[in-house]
Amino acid sequence: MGLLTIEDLHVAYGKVEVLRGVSLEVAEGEIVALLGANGAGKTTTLRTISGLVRGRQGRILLSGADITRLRAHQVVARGLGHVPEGRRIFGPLSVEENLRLGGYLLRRDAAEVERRIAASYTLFPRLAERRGQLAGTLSGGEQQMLAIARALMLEPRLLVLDEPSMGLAPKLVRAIFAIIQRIRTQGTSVLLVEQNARQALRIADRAYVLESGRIALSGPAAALAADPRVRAAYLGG
Amino acid sequence: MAAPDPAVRAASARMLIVAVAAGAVVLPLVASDYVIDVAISILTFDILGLGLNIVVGYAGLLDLGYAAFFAIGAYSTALLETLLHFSFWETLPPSLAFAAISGVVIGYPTLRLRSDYLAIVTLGFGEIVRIIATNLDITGGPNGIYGINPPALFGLELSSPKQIYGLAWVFLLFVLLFTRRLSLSRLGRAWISIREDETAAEAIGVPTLRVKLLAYVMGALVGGFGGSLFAARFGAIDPTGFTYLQSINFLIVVVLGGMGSTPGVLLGAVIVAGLPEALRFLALWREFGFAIGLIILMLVRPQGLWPARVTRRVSLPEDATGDPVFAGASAPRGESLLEVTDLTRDFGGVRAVSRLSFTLHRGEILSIIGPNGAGKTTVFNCLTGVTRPSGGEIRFRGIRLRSLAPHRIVALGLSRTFQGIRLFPHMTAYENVLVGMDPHHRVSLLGEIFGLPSARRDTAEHLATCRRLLLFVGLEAAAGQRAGDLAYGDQRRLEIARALGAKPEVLLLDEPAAGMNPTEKAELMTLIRRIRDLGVTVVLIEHDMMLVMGVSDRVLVMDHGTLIASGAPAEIQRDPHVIDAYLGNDEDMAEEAPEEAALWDS
Repeated sequence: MGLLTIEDLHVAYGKVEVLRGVSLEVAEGEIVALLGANGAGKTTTLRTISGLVRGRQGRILLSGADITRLRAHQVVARGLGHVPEGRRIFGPLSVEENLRLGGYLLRRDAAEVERRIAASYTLFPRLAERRGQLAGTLSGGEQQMLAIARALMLEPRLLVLDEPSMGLAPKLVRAIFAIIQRIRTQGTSVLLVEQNARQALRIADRAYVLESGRIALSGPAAALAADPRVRAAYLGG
Repeated sequence: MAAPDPAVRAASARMLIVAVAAGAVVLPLVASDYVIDVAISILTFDILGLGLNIVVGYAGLLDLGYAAFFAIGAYSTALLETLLHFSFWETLPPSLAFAAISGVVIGYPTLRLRSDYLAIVTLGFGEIVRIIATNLDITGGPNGIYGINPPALFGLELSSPKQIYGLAWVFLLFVLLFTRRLSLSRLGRAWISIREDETAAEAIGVPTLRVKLLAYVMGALVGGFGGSLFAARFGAIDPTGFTYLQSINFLIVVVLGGMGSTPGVLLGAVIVAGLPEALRFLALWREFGFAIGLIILMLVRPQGLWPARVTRRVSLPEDATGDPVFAGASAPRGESLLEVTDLTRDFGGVRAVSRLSFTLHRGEILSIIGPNGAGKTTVFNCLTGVTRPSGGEIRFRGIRLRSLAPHRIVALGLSRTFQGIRLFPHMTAYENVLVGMDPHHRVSLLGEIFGLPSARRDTAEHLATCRRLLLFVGLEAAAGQRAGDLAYGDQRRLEIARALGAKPEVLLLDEPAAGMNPTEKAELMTLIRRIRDLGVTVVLIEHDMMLVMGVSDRVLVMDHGTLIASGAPAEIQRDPHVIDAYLGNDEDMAEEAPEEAALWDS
């Protein structure tokens, strides 16, 4: 039994069918990459998993429990962290306040919140330097780190990341991928959506390729990286 | 909700119009004076709703004091008739003028305010007008003005309910035609663009302050027109007809019907003016029943009873082919086009850009790269007038840009795209491009309202240019689709087409490849080269090294607000400072280099 299991998921916006029967799985301790062209349905898949979008058909199981009908905050409470596309940090709040909001569901366990904020600063020393600064004034790379740290505050079993490298300088892109690998060693599995297919396949164990709302290819990351179809479409030759 | 076939929809719309027209003609033959009186009230609310819809629905400016314009129209007509013995028809031009002037008076000081503050200021304005009317002797104080003569037509006094009913229909049809032409005009598109994204509208060349002011003026004109009709209908007016509650009623007409939707507003007026009458059987509980009815309607139809339709059938001239033409095509390449000297910008204590100097030459593709937070986007914002520099000078073709508003800079020939896509998502693709063409759209508003041949010729010409731009980026098939519904890569290309609409000499692209896969990036590289070949100089901010190294003639590297290197792509890649600050240095680069090098040559 995998950590996350999606069975035959269908999603539509109005008349437009975005997902037409997606099934995929993430096992405990895995990094799984979800690749595909723009408009293929990658972001929709992530948003449906975390309860922001409602599917028409299909089931989503997290650790064996059905989360298909749960609302987003209930899904988060069951151990799923979502780092949305475009970071979506709370700009007018400080770095530390953003982290506190990430720990909102810990309620009154103040000691635990402090412990986890300290853990975030260990993982992201840069955020410790900027703890009092307004999040909106951070650079793009720092904002991405904050978005990840905020999602990690509840120590999720599964972290879903939507294009974490978008708009980042080459050096920072590599830093972000290194962080994703570290997150896995700390016991959180990762489902990763990326345009930077090369880097994503390098750190992933397995990958799925989404085309027009369906899984077109899947397999071990190394095998997909060698697949001529994937090379032509997503790795630039 | 399934969208019906446009032809079916047009046919059912025609049938509906015929049915309403037939009902309107038959009503006075069969109905009692009471029913006709209610019908006149509905028609008055229709007119006021359509006027307020310009401000609230099209331009997206919340107005809680709209009854003030209604009052100004009514009092102008009443005073001119009773004091100066004007006929009703003679009072119309001056009372419209008063209303328009008051639109400027309220509009001008409030233009820079955002919605909530604006709402409070308009609320105050509405109350001021009512209180002045209550306190002045000339306006009759709390008793108001009576003895206003009914309007006469060919010696016949229009005084019976049926005659006023006919007059109200004529007024309404007039207003309908006026607001419809406005909504389809260049100004109407500009209103919707500022409702969608005011910053983006200004930055692509829409003079937002003037456009917002015109929204107030046009709304005030219609409000004043309705007020004149109101005075003629009752023969007497007093301040209780122009209260805050009345402003709210007009707003309910618009919101309940559907903001920006003409049929919606007409229907909203039927509910707001008609439902309380239909609920008379509730006696003392009538207002209560009306309020409950409103709440239920809004819960069931939060977008309004008849929401505004977005997708329009578009008929761009099919014979408009060939590449769009730009001013820079015939100018000599290599001349200095843009000179930046010691540009500095501080945010609080942070110096985002520090004494940056560079020159842009006509016909080149120049890339600015550097770590996140290096100040690249701030440079773009200073160049386009979105941010004012703290120091230094920017000269474009010799003209100083420092104190110009963004839309003026666009008109001079410097246009841009945004890091995060900022299209007008609820407008169609071709309307987005038409808004982008605004700085060079010379059609006169009066021409568009009266449908003059010269205006039609201008419009046809602009639609042809619009089609060429869409063809150029490969989106002509998507012309009638909502921009927000387009696939991501298409949105990026549409944003480029919109920026090209301003006929720029320099195009600034802020991370155009963000979120694109290698195939899309390769297409983007081709597009950027084609833009340059048409005579448009391109400046690019980008993190994707395959793209930067592939298309650029020159590369500037920024770090911590200053220039740390500049030169040809090959030099930049070898520069140790650049590798250290930006590119990074590990086995990945060596591994990726051969494949990427192959692509740059493509």
